Amino acid sequence: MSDAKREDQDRELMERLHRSLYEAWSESDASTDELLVEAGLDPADIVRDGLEIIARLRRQQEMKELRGRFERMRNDVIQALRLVRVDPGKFRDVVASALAGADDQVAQVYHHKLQSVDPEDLASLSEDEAILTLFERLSAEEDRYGG
Amino acid sequence: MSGALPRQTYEKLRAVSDAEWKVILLRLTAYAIGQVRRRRWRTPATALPEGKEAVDLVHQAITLLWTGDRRWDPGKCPDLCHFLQSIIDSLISHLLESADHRARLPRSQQEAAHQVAQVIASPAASPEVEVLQREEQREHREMIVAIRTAIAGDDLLELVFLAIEEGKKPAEIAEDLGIERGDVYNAVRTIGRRANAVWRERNKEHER
Repeated sequence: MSDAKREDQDRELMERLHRSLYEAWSESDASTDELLVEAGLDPADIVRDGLEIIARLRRQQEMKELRGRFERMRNDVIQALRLVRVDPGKFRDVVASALAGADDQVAQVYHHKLQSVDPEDLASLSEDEAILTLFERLSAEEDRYGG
Repeated sequence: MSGALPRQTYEKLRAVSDAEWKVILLRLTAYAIGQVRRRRWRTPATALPEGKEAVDLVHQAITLLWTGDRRWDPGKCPDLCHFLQSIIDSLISHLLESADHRARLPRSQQEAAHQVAQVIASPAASPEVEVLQREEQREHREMIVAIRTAIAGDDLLELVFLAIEEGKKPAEIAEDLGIERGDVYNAVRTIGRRANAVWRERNKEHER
């Protein structure tokens, strides 16, 4: 057998061994745990520490989502402010859509709730704080991003 | 700083339950250990520690996923664990190349580790690379001979190793030998343990 052929066979054998090992160690939760313990690790620690990191990353991503959503909402509301006096109904549509994002059902709920908001309050929405207050007031009961 | 994730990715990640994450965390750590061993067995120069290092790799992979620094497209790769495994592969390659890692190796191994990482990263043939490839091939050969010696006298282990060499998978080996697949898995795990012990011994000799 040539050296090159034997080298290829050796490399292939090692790869096959690793593939078989991966299959053998991952065939059940118990065998995976066994490998981890043999490597000096505690599966319970791996899960606890991992879930903590994931929870932190999830919260950070939710904050980014909320921030992005607020920015989009703020831009939509500010652009639509000229409608407050001339067409309050249309303005409520825009604000409801801005608050709800792409969810039409939620937009309908917001639109319904906005019927009770004073036009003067709507006119004050050029300020971030006013938008936030309105947003919090309308979405508190849904608590969709409470995590 | 990374921005928000694409909507589809974000929604998919939010839908992964803690119970599912638990399975992913354990499987991913086991995968990282396996990949570290796979690279270590190529050469004693790549002395990657496997325990805490594997956990760190998993944490890094998950962080890269959630920050969007590695973009997961669930449409293209529906299996989240598989996607995270690809990040682990990439991180290990970078780790082998990093100065920080080389600094942790015994001085005599630092240059060799650097060269091996270059071979793995860029297998283009050059006189230097060819020398290193021959070195890796020699290590492979010696590892295989050492594993055979380590399992010699145990008929089942020898048969299973031979079958793996012939390209058979555990299910096929079980059928050929007329035994349970679980028995084949046990044999494969035993071969893995002995191979790891062989590698440790060989590495000690190289450090002397």
